[in-house]
Amino acid sequence: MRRIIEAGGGLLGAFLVFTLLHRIHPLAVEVVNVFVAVVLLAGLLGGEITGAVMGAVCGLVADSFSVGIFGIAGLALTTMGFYTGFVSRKINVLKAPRLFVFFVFMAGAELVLWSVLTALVFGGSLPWSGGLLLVQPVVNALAATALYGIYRRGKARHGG
Amino acid sequence: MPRFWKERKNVLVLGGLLSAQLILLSLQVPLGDRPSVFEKSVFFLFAPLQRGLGALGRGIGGLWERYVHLGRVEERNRRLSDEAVRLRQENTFLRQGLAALEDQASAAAVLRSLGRAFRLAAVIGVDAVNPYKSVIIDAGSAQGFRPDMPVLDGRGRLIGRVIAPVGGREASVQLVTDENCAVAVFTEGSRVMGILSGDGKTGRCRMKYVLATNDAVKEGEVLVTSGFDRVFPPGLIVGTVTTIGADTSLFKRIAVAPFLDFRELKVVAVLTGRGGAGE
Repeated sequence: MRRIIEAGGGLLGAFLVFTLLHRIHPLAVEVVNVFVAVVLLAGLLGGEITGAVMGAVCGLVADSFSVGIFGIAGLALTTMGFYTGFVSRKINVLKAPRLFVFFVFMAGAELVLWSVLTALVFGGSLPWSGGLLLVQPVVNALAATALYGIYRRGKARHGG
Repeated sequence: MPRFWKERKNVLVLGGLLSAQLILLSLQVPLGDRPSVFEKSVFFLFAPLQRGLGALGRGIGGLWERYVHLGRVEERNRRLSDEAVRLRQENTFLRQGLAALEDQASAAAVLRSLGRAFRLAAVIGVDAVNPYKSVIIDAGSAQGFRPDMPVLDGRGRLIGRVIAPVGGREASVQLVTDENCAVAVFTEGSRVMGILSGDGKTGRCRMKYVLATNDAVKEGEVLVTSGFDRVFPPGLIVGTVTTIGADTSLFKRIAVAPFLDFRELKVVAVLTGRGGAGE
C-alpha cells in the first residue's frame, strides 16, 4: 500500500513539475523529461515491476498530452523502468557518482529506444532541436539522482 | 501455475504491459489522428488536474508580487495586458474586415459581430512529448470551443487550431509547427499558393507544393491564409519565407519562419465563428 501511495505521489509530483515547467520556458520540456526521472527512481527503489508499471502509467499520461500515436512513450518508459529495476538489483549503484552514470545510461537507452520506435511507427525522427534533446538523458539523470538523495535524507530523518 | 508465476512474474508483467500498449497502438491505427476512447479518458482525467496545478503554481508564484510587492499594481497590469491582447485582436480583425468590405453597411455588421468572434484562453501546458506539436489551453466545450477552430496569438497571428480531445474547460491546440498541420496559404506579394506545415522538430515550417518552375516567390515575403482549406479564415498572417531552395523533386523547398513565438505563448485567441470577424 505504501509503495502505491509513493508511486502515486511520484506521478502527481512529475505531473506538477511538467505543468509548471513550461512557465519557465515552453521548450524546457525538451531539456528535462520529469516522467523519465520519476520512472528511473521508481525502478531503483521498487524494482522491475514497480519501474515497469510506473513507466507504463507515466508514458500513457505523457502520450495523452501529446498529438500523435498514443502509446509510443509508454513502450519506451515501461522498458526503461523494468531494466532500471533489474540492473540495479545486479550491480551496486547506490553511490551518487555511480548512480548518476547508471541513470545517464538508462535514460540514454530510453532515448534510443524512443527514437527507434518513432522511426518504426511514424517513419520519422524525434524533435532533436539542434541537439537539445541529447542533453535530456544527462539532465534527467541529474534530476533522478537529486531526487534519490532527497528521498534517502528524508528516510534517514524519519528513521525509515 | 503458481510456481511458474513466481519464477517468471517479472517477465510476465513486463510482457503484459508491453502487449497492452502494443494493442493500444494497433487500436489507434484505424483512427488516424483521432484520439481513442482510452486516450480521451486519460486526457479528461488529467487535464482538470493540470488546470488545477497550473492555477496553484500561478497562485504560489504570484504570492510574492500580489501580497508583498505592489499587489494592486500587479492586478491592474494584468488587466491592462489582457485588454491590450483583446484590443490587438480587434484591431487585426477590423483592419482585415474593413479591407475586404465594399460598403459601410457591411462594416457595421462586422463591428457588431466582433464581440462574439473570438474568446481568449490561457496556455496551461505544452505537448508532453514534442513541444512543437501542441499546447493545452484552459477553455473547452463549456466556452463553445470545437475542433478545427482557428487559434491566434496575442498579436492576431495564426498559431494553430483546436483539435480533439476537447474537454469541458480544457482543449488541445495543434500548432502550425506540427508536421501533420496543413494550412492553405499564399505569399502576400507574389500571390503564390501553397500548403504550410511544420517540420515538427525545430519549430520551423515549410511551404509545400510550389512548383520548381515558379520563380515568383521571394525570400522575406509574408504568408497569409487563403481560406481554401475551409478551416482557417482568409487573411491571417502565419510566417515569413526565409529560404527558397530546389532539389530533384517537382516542387521547391521553401523554409518558413512562423510568427508563433513560444515565449509569447501565454494568452491565445480562439476564433469561435468560422470566417472570424467576417461572420
